[in-house]
Amino acid sequence: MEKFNFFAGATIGAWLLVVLVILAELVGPFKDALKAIFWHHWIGKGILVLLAFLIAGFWFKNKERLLGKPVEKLAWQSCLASLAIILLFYVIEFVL
Amino acid sequence: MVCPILRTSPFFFAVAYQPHLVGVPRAWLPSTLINQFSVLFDGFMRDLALIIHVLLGIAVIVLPVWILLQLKKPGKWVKPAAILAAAAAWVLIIPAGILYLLFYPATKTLILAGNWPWAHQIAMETKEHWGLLLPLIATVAASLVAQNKLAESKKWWKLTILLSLAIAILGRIVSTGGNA
Repeated sequence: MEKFNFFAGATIGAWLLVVLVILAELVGPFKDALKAIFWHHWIGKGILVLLAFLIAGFWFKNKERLLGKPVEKLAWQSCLASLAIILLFYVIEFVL
Repeated sequence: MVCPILRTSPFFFAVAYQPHLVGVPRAWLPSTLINQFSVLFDGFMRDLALIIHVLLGIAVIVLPVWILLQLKKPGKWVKPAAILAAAAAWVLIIPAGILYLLFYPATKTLILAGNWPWAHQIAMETKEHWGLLLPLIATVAASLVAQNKLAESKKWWKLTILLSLAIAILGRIVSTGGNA
């Protein structure tokens, strides 16, 4: 029995980061709330992603599949997608 | 000007921020001198954070490269190196945060007023958020090595190296943008 599922933690952390980045840029009050709670929105994102990584890692410790996919494959695809979406989002936001 | 040795001494820090600790009442010091000390202290802190940031960044590239080279014939140092690489990726956030939150706002103002506003709006924003994902990726790689899944860890180490290099290049673009 696994004690911690690193793949599940990375998957949830990667997607939460994408959501936080987009929400903070598009919804002013959300960014303000992150600042009010964590002093800076970047610290807020970092702490929330870390918490998501830890909680998901323990929560899904016995799961080998998530959303019908092997969890390792899902983690790999999620990390790559997260990196690409973050870059694309900032490019699109700058161009528009 | 204050000589470099004095600038890096604990005495200098004490005089700069807490002069009474070294027997110098703050009121005795002219405000211009206090300001000068504060500026130099900030400069030293920025340099220190930058050096640690760069050294840890190099570690997050060099250690995974070394681990990849060792994977065919793994020795006893592969697991400690993997844990060290992941730990370096987590600790790296501290100097990165100090630089980004305390010292970068002045550079950001310069960049946004210059010819390369995208250097902040695309390069810096992407870099800082990719940086939050780096420790997760390095930790997954290290966990695979810890479980003796060496072959499976390869692509995660390669991603760690590529991401670290990309972040370093983006950092270079940002600092160039400050002078553009």
